[in-house]
Amino acid sequence: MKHSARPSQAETIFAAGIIVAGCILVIFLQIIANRVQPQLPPEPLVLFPVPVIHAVDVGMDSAAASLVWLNLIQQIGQFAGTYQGFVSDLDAITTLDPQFAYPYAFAALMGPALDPAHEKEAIAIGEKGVARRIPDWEIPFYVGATYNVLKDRDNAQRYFAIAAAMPDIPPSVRIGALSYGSGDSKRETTRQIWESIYATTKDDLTREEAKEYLKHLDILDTLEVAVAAYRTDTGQLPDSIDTLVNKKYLPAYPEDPFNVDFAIQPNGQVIATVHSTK
Amino acid sequence: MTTLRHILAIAKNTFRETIRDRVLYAILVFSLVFLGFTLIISSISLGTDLHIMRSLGLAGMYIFSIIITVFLGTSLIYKEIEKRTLYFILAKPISRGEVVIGKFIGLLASVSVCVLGMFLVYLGMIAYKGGGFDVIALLSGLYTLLDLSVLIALSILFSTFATPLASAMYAVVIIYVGHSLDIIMQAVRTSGPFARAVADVMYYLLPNLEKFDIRNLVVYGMHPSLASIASVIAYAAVYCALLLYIATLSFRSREL
Repeated sequence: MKHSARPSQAETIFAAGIIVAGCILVIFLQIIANRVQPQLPPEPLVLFPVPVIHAVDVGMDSAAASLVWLNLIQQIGQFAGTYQGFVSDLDAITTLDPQFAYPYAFAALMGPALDPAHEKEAIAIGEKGVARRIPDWEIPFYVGATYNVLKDRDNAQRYFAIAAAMPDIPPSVRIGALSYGSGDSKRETTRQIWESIYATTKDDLTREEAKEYLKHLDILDTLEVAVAAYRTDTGQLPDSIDTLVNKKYLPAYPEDPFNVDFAIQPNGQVIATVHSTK
Repeated sequence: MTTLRHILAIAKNTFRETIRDRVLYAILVFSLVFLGFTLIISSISLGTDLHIMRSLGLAGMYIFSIIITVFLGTSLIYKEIEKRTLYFILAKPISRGEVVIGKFIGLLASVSVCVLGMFLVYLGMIAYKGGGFDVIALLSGLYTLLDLSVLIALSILFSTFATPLASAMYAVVIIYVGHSLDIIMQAVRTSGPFARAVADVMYYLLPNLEKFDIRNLVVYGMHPSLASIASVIAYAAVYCALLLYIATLSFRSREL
């Protein structure tokens, strides 16, 4: 019987070379194919309804909710904050895994910014988390913060009081929540709220949102200081922010992160207004 | 004593045979890659990294444990019959019941080693991420082993009369139905008496694998009561004993 001979060193090197060359060719063809293929716009992933997910996940509801959460984060990133399924996905997550705390808080705070068409539903998800007594101070605090932005002071106070009573709330945040509505300056209260959120959140998106709010508040303060300086010098209020820029009380028209314009009130206070195309 | 010696000898042999299976190591490597993947994916979870690691990690370990169990268990006795190695064992004064129980213990030991390995990696990852020592996850591990013991007994039963492929399919169907019994009961609540009766029979006779699922509790640091733990252990023990007895009868009725 003829035994098969072991391959020689030359044959082994030749075979390895063929495999390496083949891999390089495959990679090269993949790169070419990616370049010549038409680039279709990305489509969001459509989820199955919650009862279907629940029926097929063989009891792994928490893992299924985690996957939906991770998918949501990807969709927000991919569709630059215009993802249409934002609220429905968060609703699915909190239904599959009612104890998963952060999505409630995220929905309440980021919902109005990321999915303005479903602002009420987003806040309702946060309120659902409070009603379910999920032990996370961020849920009522973020609901209160959103009501404060919407100028619904009564609801904001109610939810800040709930947050203040939660055992895990940081002491500095608790003081701010307890004193909501008791100070004169609404802007200072709002600043404290966003500073608390900025300091305590572990989530980059929310921190970015808080940073933008704080920048917006800083801009309002800066404008009011410039208005006060103009009034001291001239004895009257400026007509508009452009006057302050023209008279060198401001270096430039401020770029607000929320793309709003500014108007000067008769009492010297500066407020944000809807952006007009110039 | 002789019976115990026979069972332990078969168990030891089964353990050695299964723990050396190369496909087992391939599945284990994939499971460890998956656990590593949860570590990476949790970093983009907007601050919920521990939650993601716990939920996906426990789910992944369960899925891979099932794959290992079904892969090893469904061919256990069938392979021995096909290779005719069983004849050498049965030629000695070893009963078929002793073979079945020995195979069960041996395979349970192998699967336990695999599950323990995965859990150690999981606990290490949770500790690395600042979650401390996840004691309650150990309870989930115990429950997983109870779940797998029922599946092992089931796989051995199937392997006494069916081919490995057919046994694997039956096992997968039972796993799915076992986790869906509560959903089925809810669904037939508004149906007629016959459907409800069939659902009742299925609910009480088929293995209710949801009893062994405390993963959702573990993710939130909760744990079941002592009475609940004791009842689940008793349920698993009785169910395994019943399945192994039926497997012995099936094996005895088989002509070799």
